[in-house]
Amino acid sequence: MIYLDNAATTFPKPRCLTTEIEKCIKQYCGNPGRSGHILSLKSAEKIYQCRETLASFFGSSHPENVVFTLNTTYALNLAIKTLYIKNSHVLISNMEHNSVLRPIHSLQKAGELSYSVFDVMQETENIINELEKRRRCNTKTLIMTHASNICGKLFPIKEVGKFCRKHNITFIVDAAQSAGISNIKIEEFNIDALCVPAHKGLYGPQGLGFVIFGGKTPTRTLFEGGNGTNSLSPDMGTILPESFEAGTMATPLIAGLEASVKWLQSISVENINHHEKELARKLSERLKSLPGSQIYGPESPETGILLFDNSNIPQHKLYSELCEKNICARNGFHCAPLAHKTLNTPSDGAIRFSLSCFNTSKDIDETYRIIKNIVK
Amino acid sequence: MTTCIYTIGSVTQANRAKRILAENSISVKIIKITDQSKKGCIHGIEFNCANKLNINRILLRASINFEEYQT
Repeated sequence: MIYLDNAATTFPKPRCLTTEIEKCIKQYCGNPGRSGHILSLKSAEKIYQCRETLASFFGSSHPENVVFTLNTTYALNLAIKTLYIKNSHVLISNMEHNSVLRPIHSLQKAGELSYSVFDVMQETENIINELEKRRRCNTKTLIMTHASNICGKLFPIKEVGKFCRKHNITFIVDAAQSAGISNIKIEEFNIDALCVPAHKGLYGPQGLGFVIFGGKTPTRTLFEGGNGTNSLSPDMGTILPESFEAGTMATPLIAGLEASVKWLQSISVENINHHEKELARKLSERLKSLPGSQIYGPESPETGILLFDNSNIPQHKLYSELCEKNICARNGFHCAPLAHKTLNTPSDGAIRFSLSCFNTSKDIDETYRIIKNIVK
Repeated sequence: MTTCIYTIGSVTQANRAKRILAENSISVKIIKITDQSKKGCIHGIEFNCANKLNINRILLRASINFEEYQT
């Protein structure tokens, strides 16, 4: 089996992840923030340590601004729905995943806001010029992905962050595909909410994500319930992070994520990105040599993600054959129809190959050999 | 040693206080206030009262809200 579906979730995971999860469950997994005994306090301390690790990793000086969620989709919903301003205008890019498009579309349908789509597949200067043109007097929020989940192109969040700061626009970033392969600095990039999954580039467990809030604090909650704080009040409050973390936390997963991030730091984001890009470049060049092949997105890979199609064989047939031969990739629209429309992919989408630090040059050779035999 | 207790908004803020105080060579213990009749669930830090003035200064500087807990 060759696993090239790491943009969906990374596999395998580092051993330290399972070791730490098991250690937590076996040794100290009380309910954090709820009780006064040693297990509850130890769990709360471990969660705080993870908040510190994540804040430091993403350039925030506020560990208390790290809010844990179920995944990036929940993180984006939390950020969007607690930060947007009623009757305002929102800008989103034309490469967004449904986890941005759908919440915004739903809020528009409910009459809460209006939105416009801007083209992010152009030079940085042109992006900023277009943003200046599309900005209205009531534009209060801008949401964009940092790296495309379909073609791996990286977008200039630092420059867009400057634009947002200049115009006092809340800046929400979807880092689902860039966290762990690109250095993101919340404070330096003027990000108000960074939304991140644990289980992709951070090599953590599924079922966990987080938002790191930057300059702006949410003024309303999305979920209400028990949080171990001020429990005689019926009001949830708006104090970071507890007011935004209703219910029992995923302590073992959070403990595991901390171990994974420390492991990742020991390798370095730069080394991982370099490794993935090199493999993607090799695969891209080989696939391009096959008659009828097309690679969508940047000319040269900017991350370890490639979007591929071959006109000599229907995409779903090629994909089925890859599955049969245990090449694990993903086909279709990748929950990002807006992005597929932007890249003008075929009517049934395309095949995405996505790499991790565990992939090798041999994986690329074997994948190419199999595809070549299928499409010949 | 006489011990003092400050209540702090949440367990996260209590851990933050503990970390910042440790960086200033002051050791405190995080506790959950067992008498919940006033606010329900609430956490705090327990410490040597001799450190009170230093702790006040450090927590104020870190914008951590606290109240003295009277047992």
